[in-house]
Amino acid sequence: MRIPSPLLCLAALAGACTAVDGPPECDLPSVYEKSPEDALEGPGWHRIYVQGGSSTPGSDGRYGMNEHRNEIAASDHFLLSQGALVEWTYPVVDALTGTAFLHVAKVDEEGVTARYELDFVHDGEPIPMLSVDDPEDGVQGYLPFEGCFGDSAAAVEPSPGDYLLLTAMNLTGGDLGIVIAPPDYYTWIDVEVAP
Amino acid sequence: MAFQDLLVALSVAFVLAGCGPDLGPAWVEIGEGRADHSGLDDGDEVTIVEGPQGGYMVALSMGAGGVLAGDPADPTDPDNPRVTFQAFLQDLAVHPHALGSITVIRGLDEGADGDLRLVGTWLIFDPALETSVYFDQPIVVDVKIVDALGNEATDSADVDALWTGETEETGRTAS
Repeated sequence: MRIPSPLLCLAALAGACTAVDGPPECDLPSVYEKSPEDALEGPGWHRIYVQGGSSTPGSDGRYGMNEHRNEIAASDHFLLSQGALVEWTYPVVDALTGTAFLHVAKVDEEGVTARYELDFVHDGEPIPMLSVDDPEDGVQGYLPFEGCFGDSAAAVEPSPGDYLLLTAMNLTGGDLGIVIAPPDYYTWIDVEVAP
Repeated sequence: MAFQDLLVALSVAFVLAGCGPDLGPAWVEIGEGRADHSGLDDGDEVTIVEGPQGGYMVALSMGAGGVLAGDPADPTDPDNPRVTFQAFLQDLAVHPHALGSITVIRGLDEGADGDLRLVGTWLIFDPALETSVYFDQPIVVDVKIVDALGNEATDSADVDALWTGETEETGRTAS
């Protein structure tokens, strides 16, 4: 199921989303020019696969969580209480065009509502670009979401340390699993770096 | 003190008092509990249960004070604090990575003792690990809370993670 982009734009910054008539038009490419390993850098479309990140050890020798990246195995990440969340980040080096495609594979049960948010964190301040509540239950599989980035975010020239932040939160409690289990299921973000 | 100095001092005090509620020092206590908070001390035990998808987990809780409570009825309230639980083996030479972690942004309930509480947060052990790594092993459980004003506190306990064969049919009971 694809969610109309105007719905996705409700929570974006005022004026951030271009008015659209009818179905969303993200104009996604059939071929991705890059699958970056380290950062969103260089023009063209990038597909970022959401997956667990490895953290660095602290002074106590423990490999804990980074501030915005959970240490997740390549499997379902279950968020079983209200407000439970998981976050992924990706460094941004070059300016974005303002279009994104968010594809979240999830597992949940009837009555569960998940919230997916995508922020561009510039100079430490999050610029909301996309927020959508997903009340639809799904036994297993893909729930792609399609929407536009805010123009205001795209207009910002990134500073060193800027990054994308994807958050998935369980708003209701109950069973919610975000699936990051290649090769059967993937969760990803498509973004375009400006020419 | 001159009258003008007194005015300045009073003005500064007034401004400082207006910076936010006087919450006292922030503190947090790590605990275990699906429906209530039971504080954990070193040497205590936590019970591992099998989850609805075949994973293994423990129900953690926390008591706190000196922090903004947020709104437990509204998971989107911007005043809700951010709480992170983590678990590690006590023997990091065996496995230095977190056994599991979970972050929750949620308003806190008021406990019977007047403290603030968050209960029924499921920390799921890394499914890539063999269960022998943490079944019946000494582990450390951590909690960190950061409220909307930036007040933060941490706590931890060295506990034994007991596997008794208990199962949890659904996470819904944790909501």
